Amino acid sequence: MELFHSVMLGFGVAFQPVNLFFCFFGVLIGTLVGVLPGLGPTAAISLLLPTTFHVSPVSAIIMLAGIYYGAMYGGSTTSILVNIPGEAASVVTTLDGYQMARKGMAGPALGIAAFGSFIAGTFSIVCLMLIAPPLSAVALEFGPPEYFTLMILGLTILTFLASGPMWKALLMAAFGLFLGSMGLDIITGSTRFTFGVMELLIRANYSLHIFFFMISSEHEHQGCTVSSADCSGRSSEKGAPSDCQRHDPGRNGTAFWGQPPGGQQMAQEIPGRRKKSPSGRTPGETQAGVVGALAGGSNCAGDRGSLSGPNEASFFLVDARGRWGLDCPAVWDWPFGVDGREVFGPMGFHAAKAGASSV
Amino acid sequence: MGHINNDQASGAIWLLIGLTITIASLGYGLGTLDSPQTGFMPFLAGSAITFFSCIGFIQATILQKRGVVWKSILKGFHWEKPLIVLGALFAFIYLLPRLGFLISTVLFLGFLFRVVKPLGWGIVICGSIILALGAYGIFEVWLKAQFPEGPWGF
Repeated sequence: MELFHSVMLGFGVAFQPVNLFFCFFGVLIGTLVGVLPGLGPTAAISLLLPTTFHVSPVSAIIMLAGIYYGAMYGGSTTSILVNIPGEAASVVTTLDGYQMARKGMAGPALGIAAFGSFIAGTFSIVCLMLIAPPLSAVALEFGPPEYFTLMILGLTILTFLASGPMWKALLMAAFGLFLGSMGLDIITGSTRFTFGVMELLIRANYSLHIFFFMISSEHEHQGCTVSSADCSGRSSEKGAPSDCQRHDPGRNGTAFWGQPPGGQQMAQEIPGRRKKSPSGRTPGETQAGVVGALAGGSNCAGDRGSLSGPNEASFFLVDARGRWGLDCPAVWDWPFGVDGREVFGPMGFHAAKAGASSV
Repeated sequence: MGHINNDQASGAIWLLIGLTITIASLGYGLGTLDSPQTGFMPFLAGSAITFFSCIGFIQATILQKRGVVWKSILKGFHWEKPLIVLGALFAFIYLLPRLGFLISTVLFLGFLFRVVKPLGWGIVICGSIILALGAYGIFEVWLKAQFPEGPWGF
């Protein structure tokens, strides 16, 4: 009942005309920025943050949410139409969306990106609302063992991605570990493998990874097929789940993938994209350009478009040391943290709860 | 490359990289399991790279004896455009603080329009100028974002 009242209170605030206006404005500007190749939600929010300084905190949060979701959806547009991901989360969309665009199905690809995102995002938001109270207590308990487990989880996800020999996937994971260890050692404060280059102090950023993914997606152009059965979302086998059914967030569990702090969007998308069949992979079927894979990997993971479930969770889950799951929420949180207010994260949740109970 | 196959070559290269990382990380100090030092994580990563590359090399050697031969790595691989775009991005980053946002963006977009997706000169010139001016108007003029300025103040 308390949850219901909280939801209704939130709707009451969000549906005020002024907040709806700021939401629309944020989504519009966010989409405009997100459509620019290479500019993702973090860059969009960083650029547009000063525009929120002159409005009330609630409207500012709503506007930032609009910017974020608009930029995320804009990123899928460039991924589908020109094969250039706006941010790391859009990389998986290029694998299927661009293939569909090449086959003359850019419209359906954009449509499934929007609808899949909306459905998955809504589902994830509902899940988040239900588990938010107990989750806030768990988030405060996150420590080194939990982070270590998350690292192992991230490496385990590679088994979803690997399509060739496993040694290559594990070798690349080890190389990724090495890239991640380059730069400043946060424990001892000394540098390693920087070769005197200042930029390497902050470690290799994801632009490098984007580049490699662009190459790999170019490589995947070969031999891709899109069948009409795939695009209709119907199953070719009687009784078997359709592509979109296979990739719904509840079946894959991707609605929860974004919730641990430290998890990245790619970690949600990759398992979501993988086509599931009794044998693990449909024989003789390539994934690129399949609408179900686009819905599953890019959108049923729920991180693109109008609603964003797992990433909403990332906005909520900051651990006791103030570590965000994603970089974007950290930018979002910054103006509110300047004057000491706890808006996001479990402490913000507890503060809001305490405030509500005192009222 | 008539005698070895692709995985043997890549396995050997990664073996070299893994050994280099492992040996170099020793110089940073490993510490102990209770108190790891700066070189601990790179050492682990380098050791893992070495281990997996060894596995790959051995597998590839077994496959070679079964008749797996060298295949051209550039066959069916569109490497030109990513390389051109990457080069253009590096040039854009280099020019941005020197020429300012407007001019460097016009040059960057014009290059992409002309080289990556060959278009007519009219579309290239008009498109790049309009897009750069549009971005400049939205971000710099309207939203007051601070872009790098060139010697001419824009």
